[in-house]
Amino acid sequence: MMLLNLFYILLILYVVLLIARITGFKIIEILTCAGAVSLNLFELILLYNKSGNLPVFNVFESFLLISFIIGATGLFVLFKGDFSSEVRLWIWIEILILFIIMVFCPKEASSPLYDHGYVYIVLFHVFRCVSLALMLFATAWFIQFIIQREMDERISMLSLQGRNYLVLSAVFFLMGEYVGIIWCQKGWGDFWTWSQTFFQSTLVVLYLMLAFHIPGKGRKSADIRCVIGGLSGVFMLVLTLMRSFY
Amino acid sequence: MSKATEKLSSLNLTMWVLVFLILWVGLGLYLAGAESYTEAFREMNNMLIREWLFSEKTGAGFLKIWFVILCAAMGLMGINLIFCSWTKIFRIMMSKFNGPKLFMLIVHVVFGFVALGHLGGLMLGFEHNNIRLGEGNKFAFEDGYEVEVKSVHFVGDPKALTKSRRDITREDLDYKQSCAEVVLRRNGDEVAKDSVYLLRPLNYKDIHVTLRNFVPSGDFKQGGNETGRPRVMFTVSRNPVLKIFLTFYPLMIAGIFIHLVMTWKGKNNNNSNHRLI
Repeated sequence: MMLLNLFYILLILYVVLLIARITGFKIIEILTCAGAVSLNLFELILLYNKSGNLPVFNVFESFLLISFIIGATGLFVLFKGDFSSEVRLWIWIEILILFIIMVFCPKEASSPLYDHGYVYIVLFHVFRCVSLALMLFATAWFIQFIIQREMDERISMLSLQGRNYLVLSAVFFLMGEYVGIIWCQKGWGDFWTWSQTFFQSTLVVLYLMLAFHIPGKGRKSADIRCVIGGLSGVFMLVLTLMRSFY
Repeated sequence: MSKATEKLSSLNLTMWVLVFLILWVGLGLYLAGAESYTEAFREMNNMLIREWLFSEKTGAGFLKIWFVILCAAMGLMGINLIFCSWTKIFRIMMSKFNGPKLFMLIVHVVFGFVALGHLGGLMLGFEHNNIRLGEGNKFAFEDGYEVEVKSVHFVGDPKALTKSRRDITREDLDYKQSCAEVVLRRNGDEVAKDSVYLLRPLNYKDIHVTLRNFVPSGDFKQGGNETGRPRVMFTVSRNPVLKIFLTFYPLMIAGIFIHLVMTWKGKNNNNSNHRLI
């Protein structure tokens, strides 16, 4: 019950955060953000205490962790510098989307399965969560780049930041894949299986490769790169949900 | 540079091959979820892909066509990678490259080795899945090797033996205590002996004896010493390129990360046309 109550308090806090950003009350926004991130962390600790697992194994846990990573990154990175105010808007909207998805999921700790303490399994899930959080973070920068394309000459910084966070998310995703390979090799005697989960991982890798290999130097190419880069977060989010529910 | 070389090394080709691969792997994702292909994918997973592809016993002709086209597309990407890398090496010799670009070239070459390692893992060595053995049972495989189960130690609730691996909790099974004592022999001579645990296989050279699961003794249909103790389900595999693959993979990740650090601030803040990589 406490988990459920905390979840809805968090949801309200993130809504207040978005309203504070839209209305331009920066102090309220900073305070609400700090409060929401702290409460988010508290709920993650509660989940850990309940199951004995790091909270990364079901949709509720992993999305809470992703919200925490995005929120904390936003708190420390996005309250200063060019365009930070605009990018924050998309960051808070993304967190709310994650919370709306969580509304439809069971709000409980994952079952304490026998191998959920195994280091490679834990790292695999943690890296996946960090990767998705960074991908969504990159998406916010790309969205703002696309919106401001016609308005400002300094906007290249937006797509550069989007690119930076997307490459960083790719690094974490590949780290997840690497520990996943070791997990599979030790658990099944082979690092590859022809199955839905492996195809989903391959699709994410291929999609990231595509985002990094759009040719051309013109304006049109830059736009295509940013649209594909911006959709990466959505792409991985959909695949994550597919893996969890099917 | 000839036109053919130019096309084969172009980023356009890379992009279109990647688009095709996304669609093709997407089709694979759909097939893997289709009930009519469950058995075909099971067969595909239970043996080395080389044997599966050329075996007449395995059905699923469309899946084989899917796999061959997948390999062809990967091959085309490999050719693209080789030509593209060669062109860049040529430019380095002409001193038109800077540090980050040189680093990215190295990452691409390492990626080529990772992809080759992945292909090698699918094609080389051998793999025997779902081998169910009780105490005293043996399984013989390639090159005169044989694995024998000396004893099985299951620490947990016997009900866990009938559960799916995804449903077994910590209370059902102590995976750090449950194990099987196994002996690996070659031509009758003992070459390795160890306790094999879940997620902790026996490794001898590039041969891996992996404990996949504990199963009820009643499930065992091939005779053998009936003790009433649980049996174990093994995978016996050999992947001669695994170590190389596992070495190159983190190098590739480290290379991408270092390249990111080198390029974090970008070349020119007023240039809105920079590439993502």
